[in-house]
Amino acid sequence: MHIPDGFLSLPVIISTGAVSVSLLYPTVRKLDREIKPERIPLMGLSAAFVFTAQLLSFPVFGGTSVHLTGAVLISILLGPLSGFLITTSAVLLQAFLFQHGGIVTAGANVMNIAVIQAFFGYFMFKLFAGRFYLAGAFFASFFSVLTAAVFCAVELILSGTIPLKAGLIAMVTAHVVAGAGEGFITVMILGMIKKLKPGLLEIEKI
Amino acid sequence: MNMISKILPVILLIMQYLPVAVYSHGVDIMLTGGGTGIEARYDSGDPVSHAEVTIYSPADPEEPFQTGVTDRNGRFLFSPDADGEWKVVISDWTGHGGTKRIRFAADPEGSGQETVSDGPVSRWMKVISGISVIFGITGILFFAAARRERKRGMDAHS
Repeated sequence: MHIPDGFLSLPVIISTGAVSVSLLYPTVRKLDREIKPERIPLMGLSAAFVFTAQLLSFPVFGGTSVHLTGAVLISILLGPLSGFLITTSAVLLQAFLFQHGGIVTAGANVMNIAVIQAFFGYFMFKLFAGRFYLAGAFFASFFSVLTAAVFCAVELILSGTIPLKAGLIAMVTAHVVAGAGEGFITVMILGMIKKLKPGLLEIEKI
Repeated sequence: MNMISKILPVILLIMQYLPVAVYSHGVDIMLTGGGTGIEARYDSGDPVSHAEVTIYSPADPEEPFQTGVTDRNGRFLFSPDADGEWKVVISDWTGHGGTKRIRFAADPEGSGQETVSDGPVSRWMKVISGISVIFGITGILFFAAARRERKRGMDAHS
């Protein structure tokens, strides 16, 4: 889902970049005001986890490969704004250090990976979590990955990079598997935390 | 008569295509050697199989010189017909892909091609250096936040 440079048209780059920047600025301001210093190492660790998870891709049928994003998991643990900032840092770092995802297309990648998954994923989780904590986490991860894939496909289609029908089908089928994998790992980690260190789930969600 | 009027259109239709069969150009298929090959891999090491490849010649960077699909091993072969920088774009339709520029020079003595791109950084190298950078930034932010907190505490005291 890390779109490389040269794959998106200028209007798509500008509009997705605008969405990302307009959300990033208030997020950084709010976190800067409200966050306690003790929370920073935890966020750093989470960023390292997201960064690593996104670099480790595994192949799915049809020859393509997908990777975990970890954005929903972090949002559930630390809150949507923290999840968004952490995932954004990981995405930007990958683009600037290793060309994993383009630099001009960074706005689009931040929107697909960080905005949609951290915010939409957290919203989905909140819908279900009251009654079914782990199942809610699974569905939130699954649907946020799928929604992000659809957004990514639409951006590529609008840019004329991939054909409408075949592109959308390729994207969605690959990410059904990725979403299920993401959901499974999110549930596994949350389940483990719930059992071994339930206090971690009580951290203030910002 | 009635019979002939029924069969005649069919015969005419068949005859229309006969000259094509008789006089059409033959196609000779020959084996050629060489060509410039590329191989695309995900950073996991798996081949980028059956992905769309678009080749742009140095003469026309807008109009594709050739389009095709990588084989199951992520390989694609093309034959540059001019010296200069060729651009290869690979897309697997799920937003993964990349661009590579290949400088081609027809050299009568040998293979005569050099690629202009840096070598791949190993995945573990990326993970370790990325984590180091993240921890570094976290440390700086932690230090700054702790200092600010301390300053606030001292201000409140005085």
